[in-house]
Amino acid sequence: MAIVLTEIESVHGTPPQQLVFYRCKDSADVWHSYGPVIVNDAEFDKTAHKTVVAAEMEAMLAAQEFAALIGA
Amino acid sequence: MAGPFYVDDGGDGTTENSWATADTSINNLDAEYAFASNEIIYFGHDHVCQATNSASLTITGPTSGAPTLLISATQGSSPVTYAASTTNQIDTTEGAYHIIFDGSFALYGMCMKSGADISWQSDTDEVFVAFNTTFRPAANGKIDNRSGTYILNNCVIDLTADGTTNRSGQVFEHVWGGTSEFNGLTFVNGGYRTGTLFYMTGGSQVSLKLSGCDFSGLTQLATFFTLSQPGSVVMNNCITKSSPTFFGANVPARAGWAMITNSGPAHAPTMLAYRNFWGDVTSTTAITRGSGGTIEGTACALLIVTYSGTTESTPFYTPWQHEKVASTGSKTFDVYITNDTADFTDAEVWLEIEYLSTTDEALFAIANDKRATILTTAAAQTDDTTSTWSGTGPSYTYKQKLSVTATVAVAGLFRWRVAVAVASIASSRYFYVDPLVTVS
Repeated sequence: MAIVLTEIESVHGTPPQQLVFYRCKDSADVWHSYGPVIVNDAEFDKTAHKTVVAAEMEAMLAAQEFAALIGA
Repeated sequence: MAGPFYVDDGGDGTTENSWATADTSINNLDAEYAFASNEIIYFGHDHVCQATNSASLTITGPTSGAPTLLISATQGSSPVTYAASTTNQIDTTEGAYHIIFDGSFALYGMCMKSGADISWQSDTDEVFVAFNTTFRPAANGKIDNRSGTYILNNCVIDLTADGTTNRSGQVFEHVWGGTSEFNGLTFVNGGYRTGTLFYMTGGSQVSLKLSGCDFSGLTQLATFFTLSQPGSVVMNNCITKSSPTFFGANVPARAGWAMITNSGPAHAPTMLAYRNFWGDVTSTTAITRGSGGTIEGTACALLIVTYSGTTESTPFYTPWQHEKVASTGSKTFDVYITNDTADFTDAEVWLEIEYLSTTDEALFAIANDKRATILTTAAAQTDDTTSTWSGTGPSYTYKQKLSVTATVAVAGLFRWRVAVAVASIASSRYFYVDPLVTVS
């Protein structure tokens, strides 16, 4: 299952203290939420972090698919 | 009970009861003896494993009860004196071979390097404890454990084998449950792990406690925990990289939950992250209510998110907060909330108080401002017309007050929590709870 879109769902606060939530849409058009990132660094790039989130989400979905396959 | 035994690369491997007659690897010793509870195996502090492995190494210990002790000691010392090691006293790097501990073990100052993973395979009646021990898995390798009891004090996870290549593999994998407690854990070369730190799998009813651990070197870590299984995680007073993500996408099964407190790059007593099957609480200092809750003088608020399984019969509950009431009599307990979508009714969000209701008894009574019965027509919770909330993001459109009146018979401890019965509240609803309960 691939991730086709990653968005910032919400941002709470201003740098350096923020909570940042993301959501990802998979290739079956299902949305998945991710986070929060508990931001405490003024240099945190929440847009660039979408790449990390997408990778994590794909890994999670792949693990879930595998677990379902083997009946775990 | 036999022993103590000796393992040292300078031994002649004859009788294993002295440094001179030591076996030159744990492999040889294990092949010759069945280790029993409380037996001792001394390893030379500078011992380098002399075995040539052609497969994964399983070290077999007692199948129940007290552990066999593996103690790193000053080579040649008499009487034997403890000395932690930095050499690979157990080594399976000839190939992609695991180091497997099967049984009850206690390790003191040991050091080992695996050609693959390091696997603690204690069963439910076995224990694996380690003090000041260094574990060196292979590149992208992991530490995994099964259904036993695992206690680590001041141990090191050495990821030097990762080199300078990013590795997506998890560092720890908890399989089929077990109780783990890690205190004072540190890492070497942790900056190239880019995935998950603790991965729970296999229906594991894991209990994981982390305290005083230094995760700050894991600078590229994406997520701390996967929580798709039942079980519990408690993490407190650990140091992490800046801007950590503790939970990611996974939601625990119904019996699962995780609570993280005062963990991050700096001391933060306001810090709370809690997740269970029904929802999340995350504290932040970025959003606050005027004259609201503070922790050690720092104002904060609690963001609530819920998941699809939340209902009025199975609401999401915030963790209990314990407070003191100074006197007896009729008391009103108020908690303030805000969100950006709509007023909540008393079938959707309510306050629960447990308090001492009977003189000279420790018995708690519970009171709430939920609708009177499951069939009572729901009514909006009281509007809050006086509070001022601050912080960028929310609009604070719907401010309300949750209020419970109860007759306290004994001054002293009470506790409170907020119940949320609305499913799928997204973070973008900006639903906040002020952590201050006002008692009047």
